[in-house]
Amino acid sequence: MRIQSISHPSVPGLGDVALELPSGLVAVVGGDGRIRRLTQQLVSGRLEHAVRRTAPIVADPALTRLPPELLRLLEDGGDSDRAESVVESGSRLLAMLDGLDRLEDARSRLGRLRSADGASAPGPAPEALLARIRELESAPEELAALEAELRGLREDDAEVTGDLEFATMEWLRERQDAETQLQTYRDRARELKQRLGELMERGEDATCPTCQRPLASHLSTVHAFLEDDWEDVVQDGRWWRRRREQLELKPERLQQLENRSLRLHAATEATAEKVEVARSRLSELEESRARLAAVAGSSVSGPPRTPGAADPPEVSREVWAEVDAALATAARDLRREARDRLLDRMARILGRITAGRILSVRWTDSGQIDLGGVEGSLHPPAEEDGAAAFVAARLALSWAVSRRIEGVAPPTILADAFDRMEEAVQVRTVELLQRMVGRSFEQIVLVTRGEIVDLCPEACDAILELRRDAVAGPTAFRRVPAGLGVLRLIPGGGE
Amino acid sequence: MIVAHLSDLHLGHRAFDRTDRGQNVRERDLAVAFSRAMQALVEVAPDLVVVSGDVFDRPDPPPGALVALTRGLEALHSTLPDTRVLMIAGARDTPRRSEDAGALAALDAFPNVDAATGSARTVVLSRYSTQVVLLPYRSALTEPLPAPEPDPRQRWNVVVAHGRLLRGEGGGIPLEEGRWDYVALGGQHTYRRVADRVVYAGALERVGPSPWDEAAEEKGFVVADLSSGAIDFHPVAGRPVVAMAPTRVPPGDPEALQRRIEEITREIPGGIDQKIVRVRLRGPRPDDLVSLPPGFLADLVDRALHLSVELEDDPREPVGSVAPLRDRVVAALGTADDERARLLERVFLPGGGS
Repeated sequence: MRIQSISHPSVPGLGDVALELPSGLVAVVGGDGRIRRLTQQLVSGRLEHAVRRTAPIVADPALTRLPPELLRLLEDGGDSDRAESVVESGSRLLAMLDGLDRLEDARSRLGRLRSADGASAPGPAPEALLARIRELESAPEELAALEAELRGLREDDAEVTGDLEFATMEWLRERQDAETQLQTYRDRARELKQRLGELMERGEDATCPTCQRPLASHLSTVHAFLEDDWEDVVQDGRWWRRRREQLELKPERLQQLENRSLRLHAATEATAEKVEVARSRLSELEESRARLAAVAGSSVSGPPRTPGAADPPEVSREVWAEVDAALATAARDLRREARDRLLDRMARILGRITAGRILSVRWTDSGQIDLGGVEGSLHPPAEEDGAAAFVAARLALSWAVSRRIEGVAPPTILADAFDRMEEAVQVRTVELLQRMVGRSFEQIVLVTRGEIVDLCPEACDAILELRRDAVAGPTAFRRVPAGLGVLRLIPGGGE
Repeated sequence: MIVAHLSDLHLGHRAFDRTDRGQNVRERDLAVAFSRAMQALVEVAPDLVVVSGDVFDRPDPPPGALVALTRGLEALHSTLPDTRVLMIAGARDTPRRSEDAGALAALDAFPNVDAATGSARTVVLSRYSTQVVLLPYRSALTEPLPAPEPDPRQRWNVVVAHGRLLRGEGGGIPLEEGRWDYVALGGQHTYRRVADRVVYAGALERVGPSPWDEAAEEKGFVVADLSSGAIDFHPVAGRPVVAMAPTRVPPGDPEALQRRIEEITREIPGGIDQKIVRVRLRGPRPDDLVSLPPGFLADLVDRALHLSVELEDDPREPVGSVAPLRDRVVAALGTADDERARLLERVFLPGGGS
């Protein structure tokens, strides 16, 4: 499956967009961070009013069973750029392909049968309770993962806030220093100017500032000395003026830290809200379980079933509970095995793209990923390693899906996280993507700043470059040369 | 007429994050290989030197790469002042923006050097009655494509190009076989004689993202004697790259894994020190690698210039196979007596349970 074309009547900052995308490794290059984010949303069909045409129109039949949010995860990684999210949701996706949905259907059917069995019993319907419990069953893991994510975000936030304070102090100190230096040079320049003026005015009658005697024959020497001094003061003064002007605006690193701090604040608040929701879901789960236990009890002690009702046959309360628990265990095992497969593949991909620097990926009890290298754990991961883990998780998921469906996975869209990886890791990833195209994917779309395309244009099957042309018109995507040119050896000729 | 053909120098290529006296070791390896090739060229004393692209590893090469190239050219020029050097830009030398010629264009101003970076260019060496058509990377991708023709007035006709060579009908720059005295190709790192006088010289060092794929190949340059038709490959020594065949180790057994890795690395003639080594393992899981004794892998990594331990899929092991659902549930139940089996039959739809 691949994206053939995308169109949109009016993307902010881009205007009317109509893109044709070939198969293979397609790089969409250029634009600032906002434009690249819009481009990613456009390519993944998330932007409102975007029209996206794919071929074939309907995905592989095995994938049509998946809910839309899991299909989106496969294509663009979902809403988060953390590897943990991909592993968490990706495990569910793989487990569904292995039959998790059938187990869940079986549990639902069990609930309905149980309900029919105890239909005349008073109290709430067990079917509804079972269905709700099934929906809420992942709440403990979700809460643990979210709490761990929140802890991580708060730690990051504290670190960035510290860096930000330090960088701000540094900037203010340097600016003050520049201001002081400039003022000193100005004072010195004024003094020299005045002194030179006096020399010019009074000639040989001018006096030495130290001994107050007339300079007489020393005038030219002193004049030359002061001229040299003046030149130096002017040169250095200019430098300090430029330095002060440079420091008028906040340095780029400081701006980046401020932006990062803002983003972290927003992410922390959003995650804190999610934690609250997860907590309430956990409470509801516990309450529902208690109610179900009460209903089961009342059902067993309730009025006898109508004589002659052969279906369902008499089943003891313990057996209902055991079968339900076995179905739940099988579902949990499916998810865990899917996660292990995903982590195993992710580690192999990371080993390859980092040339063996990252060897293993472990899933911690708190729902975090722990990367391992030759010298042990790499916790806390560097930002570029976090990005590599996210990209590896995405590729591992697509690889696993393609193996499971014995076909090619839907197109994979990689964006920001790719650019955050180390340059050498990017190059090796592109080499891996080339090998995966045709086997695991028909199409990979890389929305990137463009450094990787400069480094290995021959690796891309197509490059679409965003250019803002001041003369020719608005911003547009233009196809630029990619891949290797073809030289056609024609038989014949000769002398 | 003796033509020396070099290609894919990739000067400025950096890898494996190892430095010596401030310079990336691989970057220096490539500069050394180029310098060795230049010394060998002095002995060959060709009439013409052609370089078929990817002179640098990137369009904005580090200063050291420019120094290595200009030193090599200067050494050649001082010994063989009449030998012309004709270079074309490869994919790696070519900036994305067509208005930017790239760093290689600066070499065009050197004495006895022509560096074609954008469009096709023809150079006539009247002294040797030779026409050389230079087809840089960009010229093979920009319509209209050039259609080079041999010049019947010249004794020798040579093409220097960077790209993928295909045979038969279809698109691309047409090159009629037999009408050219030598076709010097670049863009592939392996020496390959595609047809009688059509040659990929390959790179001077193993520079791909996976250098082990080229471990068994010799690297060097080509010398073509257009009069006799002799085409000789001249190897240039580079850093040893060792690619071990895949070896099977049982999963979940760190001791066996350690023993096997020790055996493999001991079997390498001359050891692993300062070499680029890949060990491929079938069977172990990533977690097995971190279960190895502390420092074991780190020590090997320190000794080699680079050690890559790759875990391969075992072709005998079906990937992604899962047990049937009913079997899983029965296993979770522990017992499948009639009562439980009947209930399970009822909750699994026909055909939906496996």
